[in-house]
Amino acid sequence: MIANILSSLIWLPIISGFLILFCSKKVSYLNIYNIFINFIVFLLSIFLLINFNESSPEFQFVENIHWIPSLNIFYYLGVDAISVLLILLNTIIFLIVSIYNSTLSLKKTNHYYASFLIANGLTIGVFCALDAILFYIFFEALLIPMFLIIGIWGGANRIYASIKFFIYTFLGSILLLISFLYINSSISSFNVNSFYGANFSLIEQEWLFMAMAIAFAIKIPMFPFHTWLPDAHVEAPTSGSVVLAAILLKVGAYGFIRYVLPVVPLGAMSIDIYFIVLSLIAIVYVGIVAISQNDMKKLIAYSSISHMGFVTLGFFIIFQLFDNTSSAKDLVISLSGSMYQIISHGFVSAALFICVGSIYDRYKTKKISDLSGLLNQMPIYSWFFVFFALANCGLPGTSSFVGELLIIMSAFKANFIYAFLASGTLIISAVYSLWLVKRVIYGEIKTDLKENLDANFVERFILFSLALIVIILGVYPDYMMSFMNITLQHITENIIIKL
Amino acid sequence: MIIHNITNSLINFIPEVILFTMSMVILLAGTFECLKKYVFHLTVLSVIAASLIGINYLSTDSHLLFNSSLIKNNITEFFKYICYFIFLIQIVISKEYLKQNNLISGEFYSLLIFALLGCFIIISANNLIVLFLGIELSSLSLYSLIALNRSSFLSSEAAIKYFVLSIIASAIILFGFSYLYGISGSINILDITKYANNNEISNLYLFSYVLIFIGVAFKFAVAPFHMWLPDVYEGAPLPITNFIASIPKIAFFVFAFRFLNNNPIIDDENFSKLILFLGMFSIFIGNLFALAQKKIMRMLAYSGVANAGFIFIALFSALENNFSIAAFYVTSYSITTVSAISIITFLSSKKFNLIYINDLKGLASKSGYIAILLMVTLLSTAGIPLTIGFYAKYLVLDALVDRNLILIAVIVVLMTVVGLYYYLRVIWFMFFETGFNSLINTSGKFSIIILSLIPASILLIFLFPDLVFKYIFEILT
Repeated sequence: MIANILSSLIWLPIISGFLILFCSKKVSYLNIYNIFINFIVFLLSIFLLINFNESSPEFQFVENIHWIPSLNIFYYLGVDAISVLLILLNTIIFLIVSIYNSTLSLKKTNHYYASFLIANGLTIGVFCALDAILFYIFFEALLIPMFLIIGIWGGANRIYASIKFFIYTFLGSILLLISFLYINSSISSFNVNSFYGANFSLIEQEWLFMAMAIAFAIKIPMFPFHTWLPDAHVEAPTSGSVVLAAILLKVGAYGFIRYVLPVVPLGAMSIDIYFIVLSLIAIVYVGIVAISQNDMKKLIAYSSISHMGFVTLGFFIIFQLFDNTSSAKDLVISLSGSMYQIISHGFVSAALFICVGSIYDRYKTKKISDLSGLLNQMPIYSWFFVFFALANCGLPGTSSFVGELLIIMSAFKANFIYAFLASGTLIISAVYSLWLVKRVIYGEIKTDLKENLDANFVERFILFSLALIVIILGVYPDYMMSFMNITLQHITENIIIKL
Repeated sequence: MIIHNITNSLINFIPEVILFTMSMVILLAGTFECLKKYVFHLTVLSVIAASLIGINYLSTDSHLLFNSSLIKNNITEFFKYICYFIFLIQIVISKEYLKQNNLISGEFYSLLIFALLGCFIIISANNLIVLFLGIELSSLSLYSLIALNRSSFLSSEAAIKYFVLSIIASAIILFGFSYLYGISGSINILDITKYANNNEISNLYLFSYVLIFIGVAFKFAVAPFHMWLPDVYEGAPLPITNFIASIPKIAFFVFAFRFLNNNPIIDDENFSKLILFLGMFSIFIGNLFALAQKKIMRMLAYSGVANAGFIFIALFSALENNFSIAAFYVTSYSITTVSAISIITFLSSKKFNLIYINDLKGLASKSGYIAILLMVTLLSTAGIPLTIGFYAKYLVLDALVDRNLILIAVIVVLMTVVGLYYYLRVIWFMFFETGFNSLINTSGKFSIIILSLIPASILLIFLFPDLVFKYIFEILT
């Protein structure tokens, strides 16, 4: 069991997803089946977390099969601390999404659940593949279920959004494939460990960095490549938005920390300034763009891009940190700030999208100008909405605060201007979050719907558990920090040794 | 000795002999009213018989038959069996379509078998004259088959276009052959290759190769020699399009392989540049033109042009005589394209001919299973993971990167991103749009099972590709 736990984590949801395609269309059974499978996967990931030895920097639970000997591709799986955390985030979000889905009434329910189950397995595959081509296959295949989710169950403009999403991300990932092939042609291996050991000249590293960084920058997304995200979010169904914001964006961030920074650090170092500037633009400019949105989903989408700007800032200031202080410890702090921000944003954005989805279910609108005074009709729901809006702008005591604090601290050590601009946005994020609350939650009631609209049991359960996670992570960050400390130290060593 | 030689050759050539005799029998049977309804069964039977009897005479070593004018070895047999498989699927699926369009007749199946036979002769020919006979046998049968639907204006137009352009291509090939014979003094392809190995490659030798490969480019529909393809795809009856899209491509791949294998001309800079340029240009033209198409067959035709470009690039990257990349690409492309056209044939009925892409809208709500089959097929043509098309594109890119032609790899890849759009468009009409046209045929359990064969193997080979790779790498290196 322990030996094959990663394979079970990947294939259990994928195979059950294919099975559900042939299942009866009776919705109550489908709901139970769907929640059951996601729950089993969640338990498996808890099992993974418990059995994981965080004091070792090596990859654990390794499975290594010579999959395609003629092409030198391995079925090589393994996890370190950051993969375990992301897998856990993934399984929690998918469990929550499956519970939330059971309250919806949809067309072709079994296809919908199948897409989510398959996406679940493929994302876990992305987080534990240690062979570059295997990673690429999961990374790329993940597009298909998301494309269908947005395209079939999305809003009015869904076709445009789904095609844009697919082609945009495909464009990035195919450049990634060429970089992997190039690395393979010089070291004849797709193994991540040999990637870390490879030495390239500066010019090669720069080109490789550009190709791979564009792929992941599209996925995260960074500033000039971000335009697919608001469209995809606005058109996607609520659960699709949750998965998109909480999981898919993290795949890009994971790609940076696993395949870019330790593999081509010199290339990253020589052009890191551009990426820092782009991150700052994302934080400041996209934050301002978020303020002016009238569609709640679009607002949260832009706020996601802005928050992801913190993540990439944390990744790319490490080279200047190393120049200034040359202590590995500072680099670890910056990277762990980014990781913390990744995990925290996963939960907060998921909760916000579920909040917006609930409003949409009741009032059939996502426009801020159409809504007002929800507090009068939905008091409990409003409590959660305000809480997550505050978490989104980094209130101390919530998980977002920890990540942002660590990144801004590191930015101060790297360069004062970065820190100044980054911390300035704490105001911007407060502006759009609080102004959203002011317009939607407070004020006079606009609609004359009289029945009880407050959060139902499932929504209360989901929002409460997410709020609990956000508070625990915010009040007691030490568990997660020490959990990933050794792994991040190991990654930092891999980076420094090549500088 | 001579008698022994002939009997030995005949025994090794027995599947083709069976096909030839049976096509005569089918032609005769078609003329009798009482036997006419059995021509389909006779065709299936003869193809199965030929392939089963052929298995008996398989051997791992290479034979030269009929005074070394034909070759029989692993490579020829591998491609012939792929052709048998494709051919069987095509005729089984097309039966209903032909019946509804009143096209079932003895001469239809007889000519179709002749076309197959011509392709088999191209595959195994080792002699310029036999090779040319094979080309003509398959082309002549196809001219008449395209024009078979006499009432259709498009069909006649396609036949005339195909006839004129294909004759020109044959003439160019023949012109090249005549130079080769003049230079090397032999019509045996092995001798011609030997000549190039022993002497320096003269400009005339190069010129004759250029002529021959222009002919090949015609047959593959590589841009700028692709003009006939969209019209033929659109005009010909769907089963014939299905044939033209797949089996001649395999045959002409073996043709190209026969001329390039062990030949130092591969290393000639000018020649390889020509092949590379044709390939790139084709990918460019094919993908850009396919974007604008509204008719599904024309779209598939331009996607075929783009894929032919990939085949040429794979031929070019045949470093160290490694033709396995191109072989895998040709096999994977022909199988997937047969699957796509077969599904479209299946969906067309007498009442409603599936012509435009938006005729497919809402297919998923009527029959999700068929929509998924078509989606898998199209994703494979686009080269998305979870299908064998991914490995096909992967191998070509890998070869380009290995040769340090990164810029070309990037350009090729960007064009496939452009191309992705028109595949996605079909998927979006099937899955995202509503309003299914109820005249489209979606019933027929047996046909659906046959149709699922190829998509299922596309997915299975993706998971366990190594057997296929090992076999292809073994026979072609």
